[in-house]
Amino acid sequence: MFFHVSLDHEILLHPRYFGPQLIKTVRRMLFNEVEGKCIGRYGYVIAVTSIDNIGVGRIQPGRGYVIFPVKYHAIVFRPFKHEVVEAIITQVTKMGIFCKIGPLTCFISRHSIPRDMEYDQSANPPCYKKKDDDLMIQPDDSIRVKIAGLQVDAKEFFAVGTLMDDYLVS
Amino acid sequence: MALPIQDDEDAAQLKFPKEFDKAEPMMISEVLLMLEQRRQQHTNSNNNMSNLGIDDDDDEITLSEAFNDTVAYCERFSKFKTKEAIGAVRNLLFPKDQTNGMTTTNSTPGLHKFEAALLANLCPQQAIEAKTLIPSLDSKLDDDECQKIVDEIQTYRSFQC
Repeated sequence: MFFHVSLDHEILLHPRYFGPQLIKTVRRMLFNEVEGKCIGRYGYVIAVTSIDNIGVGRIQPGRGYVIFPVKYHAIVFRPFKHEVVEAIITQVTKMGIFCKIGPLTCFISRHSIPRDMEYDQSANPPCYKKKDDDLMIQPDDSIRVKIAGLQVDAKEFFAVGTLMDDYLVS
Repeated sequence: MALPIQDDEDAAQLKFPKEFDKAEPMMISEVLLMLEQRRQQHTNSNNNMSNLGIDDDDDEITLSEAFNDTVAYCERFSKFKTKEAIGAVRNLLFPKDQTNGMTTTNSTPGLHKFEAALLANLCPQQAIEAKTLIPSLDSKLDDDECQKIVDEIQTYRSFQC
């Protein structure tokens, strides 16, 4: 799910930037430092929508660097456990399916794919399909998955999904 | 070192970490609108920089991989193409008078903002489908009410050009 949230960030600036372009530099550094990053429990920061306030810079004793506290609004992407989302298949293997939900990669294990769907290695590209049905899962298809579990790393989220519920897959 | 997420979150029961108390859930279609605006802004500012003869490469803002992935994702799954349709759906699902994330109008009794955004993103066609995908709806709406909302979303979806 995408959210619009208010966030804080601190910009550490080298003294060489202190000049008429100072605020411009702070803004540019904010974009570079937060966009596309995954921050802790907030998830992925996709895009900064507005910079609300750039606080007073504070000189670091003994170093000359300055820290600017910045408040901004951003669009973040944060997956939640047991949320149903749509995803794009990137890879189909014997072990399971990899798919992308925006910036997040999600793995669906063979054991979380309905039993009646079989892995077809001879097809090009490889896919999962039902014997008696046209239903197929192959790369670049869209599917609905339910997020079964999540792990957070410093820089990334990892998700595992499941297709074992009604109204999932297609 | 990856850590499992604490057990205090579960979308099926509408349990979210406290960081998200004030967060505004967005529909994929809205996200797409804003990202396109942002991309436009980005090309403009880079053009300006090169027009002014400023070309220090490492200072240029490049759009992240996550940004591009998200644009691709939103383009594929955006259900409502026009601003009018997006506005109409937002009015239906997110009425103005809100108190602690709960809504209080007749059209959408007590829908949580998260449920509302999920409804708009997934566009289920039947009440039972909606309730399977979003289990927390089950206790809030009976099948007829749910079907009414779902039908209305489908109407907005089919009447956009």
